[in-house]
Amino acid sequence: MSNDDDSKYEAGGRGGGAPADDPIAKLIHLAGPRGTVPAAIERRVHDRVRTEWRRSIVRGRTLRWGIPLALAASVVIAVTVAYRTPDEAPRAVLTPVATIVRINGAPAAAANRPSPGLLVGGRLYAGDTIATAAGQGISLRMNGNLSLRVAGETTLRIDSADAVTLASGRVYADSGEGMERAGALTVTTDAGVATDVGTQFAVAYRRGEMSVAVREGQVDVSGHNRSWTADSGDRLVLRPNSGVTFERVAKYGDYWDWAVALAPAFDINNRPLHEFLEWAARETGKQLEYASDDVRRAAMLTDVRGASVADLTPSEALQAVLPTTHFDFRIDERRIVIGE
Amino acid sequence: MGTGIPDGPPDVKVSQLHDDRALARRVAAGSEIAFEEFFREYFPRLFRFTLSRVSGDTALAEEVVQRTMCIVVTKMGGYRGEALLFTWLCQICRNEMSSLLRARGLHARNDTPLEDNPAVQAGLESLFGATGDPQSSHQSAEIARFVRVTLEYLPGRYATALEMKYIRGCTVDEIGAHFNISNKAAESVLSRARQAFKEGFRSLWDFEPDFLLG
Repeated sequence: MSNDDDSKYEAGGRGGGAPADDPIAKLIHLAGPRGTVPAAIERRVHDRVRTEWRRSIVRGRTLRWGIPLALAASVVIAVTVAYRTPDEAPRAVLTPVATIVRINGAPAAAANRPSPGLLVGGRLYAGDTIATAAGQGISLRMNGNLSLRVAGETTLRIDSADAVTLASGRVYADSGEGMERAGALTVTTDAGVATDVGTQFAVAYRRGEMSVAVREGQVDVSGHNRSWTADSGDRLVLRPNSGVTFERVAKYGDYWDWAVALAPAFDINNRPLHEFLEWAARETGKQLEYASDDVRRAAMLTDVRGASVADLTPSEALQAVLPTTHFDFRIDERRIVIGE
Repeated sequence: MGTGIPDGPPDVKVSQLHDDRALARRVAAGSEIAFEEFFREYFPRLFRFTLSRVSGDTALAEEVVQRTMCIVVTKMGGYRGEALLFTWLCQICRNEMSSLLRARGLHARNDTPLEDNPAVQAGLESLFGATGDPQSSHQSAEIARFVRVTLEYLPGRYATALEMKYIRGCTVDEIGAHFNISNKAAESVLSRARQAFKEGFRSLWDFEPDFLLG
């Protein structure tokens, strides 16, 4: 059949039914419409496949940067393996995927495991569920060094070292920066999936509404069978049946206070003041500013000694440490300014 | 990546392979738009492909398709375009289906899908018979199945265009509006879709009934 022959079937008129002299039309009419795919299934599969895809992309990027480091590290590993005794042979045991580094308020309980509940230093395994009450909070160090903080009134399942499911409540994740950056974390809710691309971000989910606030870096979010990228300063809100909205959120201030209060402790002893200040600035979302390059150099050469600040929040630690140094300082809502 | 399934209509296949390679490269590079394009194009086709092989068990089909697509999206960088992307998906899907059924102590359908059976062509030929026009309900049902499989192997926009025109009775204007293209472009899509259907039928079944020769 030539295209000329086809043209008679392509007129603008409504073509309901199958023209008696058009075999293709008859065949397709005979077959009937193709089955439709249930939207809920499509949405679920989309989100899961997309999550897997994002992980593979992040893994690929990490691998490209990580190969030179891995080659160097393999020397150390080879030596370790060579000297391992038979007693240290690998065992088929459950491997913990997270460690508790801080608990605020009364200890939370792993819902699917027997009490006595959770303590600092305790290990969590894939499948564990954490449920916190109002006023509680728990800070985890995931394998891979990512910091995951769980707010009060939150129910969270640990799926693996790089994936959690948020049933309700709020979590905050910090995958670090530069060479200390951890792998990506995926947070799944009933409304969508958030996968970080190297960042500090918070995910909240309650009654069908999911929000993802990005403090630093980027987060990929998928839901409602679509996907978006939220950048630093964005707060993306997915509402049931009403699409998505983007709002702006500052890096500092009330929105993040609960997560800052759960920051892992910083061991200040014999560490340069500059490192402590960078940690505090990152945790509080404030800008670290030095009056001059000379002041910056001096802060890098000044070691901090004295009492631990492990029990203090980053803001409290700043107020405790800076007065013991010879530097002038000023802390406002947005900045930490260090002078002569 | 041979699958045992004929790999699409020859004329369509050349440009489709080119499109498939480009899409796979973009997905592997991390393009969000490419991923959504890939999912929209292939998920419904793969789901229907699977559903017909698991006796309509939607939960099982969902799991098989999810596993298949999770594998494929992580291996996109290795796709060389030797077979159509859909053919590659179908092959992985069959493997996943088999291993999942085995793991659950289930058996695959005894009645191998027609398109998986090389002996099918003879049966198809006889279905059309000397009259060239299927009459009985049994024949109609069988032919309908062949047509649906053929449509599934066409690029999604072609199958949609044919379905809109010949089942839903849409005008060319409406088809153009659906694809957000001009009337002229819609006519062209429809014409190419008809051609692809004929070539697809011939390629899949190694057989072309007289009446399709037009």
